[in-house]
Amino acid sequence: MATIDSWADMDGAKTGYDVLIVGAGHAGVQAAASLRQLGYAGSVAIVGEEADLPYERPPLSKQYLADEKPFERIVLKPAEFYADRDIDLLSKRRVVGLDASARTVALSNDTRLCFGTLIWATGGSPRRLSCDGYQLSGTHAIRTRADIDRLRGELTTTERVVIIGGGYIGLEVAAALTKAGKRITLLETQGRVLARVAGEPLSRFFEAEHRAHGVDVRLGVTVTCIEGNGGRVSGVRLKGGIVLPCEMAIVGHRHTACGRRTDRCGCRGGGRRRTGR
Amino acid sequence: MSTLKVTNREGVTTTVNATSGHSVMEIIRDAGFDELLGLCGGCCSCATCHVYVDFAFVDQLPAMSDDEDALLDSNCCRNSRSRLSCQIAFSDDLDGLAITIAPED
Repeated sequence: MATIDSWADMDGAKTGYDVLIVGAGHAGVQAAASLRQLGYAGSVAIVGEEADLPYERPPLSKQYLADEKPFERIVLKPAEFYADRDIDLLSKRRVVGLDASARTVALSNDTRLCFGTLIWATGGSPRRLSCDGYQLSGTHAIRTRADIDRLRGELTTTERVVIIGGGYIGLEVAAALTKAGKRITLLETQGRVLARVAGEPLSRFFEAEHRAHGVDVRLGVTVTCIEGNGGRVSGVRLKGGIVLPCEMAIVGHRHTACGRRTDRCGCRGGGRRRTGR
Repeated sequence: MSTLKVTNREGVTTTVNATSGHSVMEIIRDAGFDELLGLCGGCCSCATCHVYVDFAFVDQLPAMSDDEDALLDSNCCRNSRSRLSCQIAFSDDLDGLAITIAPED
């Protein structure tokens, strides 16, 4: 597909794109695909932090964690897709600054790119625990392929896992690791699992299913810190003093939107939707 | 190699190579049909890979799970040939399978 290339310097290097999409997850890639499907002929690029081809995130806590599907089968689109549709994939870089009035973004590799229209599609990142011990090795979050690869790499030396957070991610990881033969304790501060997203009957159903499969579900508990020994996780301490010994702690609670400060850069539309013509 | 016949929403039919062991959703996606979204990545938790299967093959397909049935029920365009393509593992027995990508819900 021929594109109108008005964004190049004297040497022909790209200095910008008609549409610049920030975030190489589902939304970003689908925005690019839909633009081409609808016949858009301008230049399009996707900026993404990770090195891999954009991939499906839902299987990370399911088939990919359980080693039932290799990475090649969870990519969103094959590599040819991007070349065939003239979509530039700018991987391994982050947007670190945005000037909406000048229509430029600053990237983590010390370059800048101009844009006609910016689509902000960064999704969220896992909230870090604020308690002591979150940085110990053996503490994991669930967000990227690299997170899961690290976690899987430690499974052979892990018997007991404490999962902090009884939302979808926590429950899915509990199910996958139970199947893998691990002893799981799942902690939730609310009085039921899935408290933010489901009604009580559904919460009780999943709680009972997980318990029936051997997951030690503890509701209404608060974590005070993760305890360590020689730099590695040794247990999770609850308010009240109980310590749950474990070789791995997985933090699966609430995400926070990436780039919450876009509203300070002159963007319209609720701060982080998009800015453009 | 076995093949799959894909009819897109414009009614154009294309024959593509199909890998045994992959799901029909993956085969359609990897062949470059962008209109099949497959949003959940093949976890049977959305219904954006909805297809209509050729009558001749309906009986040879893996049985439908309760989850797939419930998801299809929530779709506007279900008919007796409806399946979620992520739930059909392709095998050489299905060589020549013809599917039509269902309208957008």
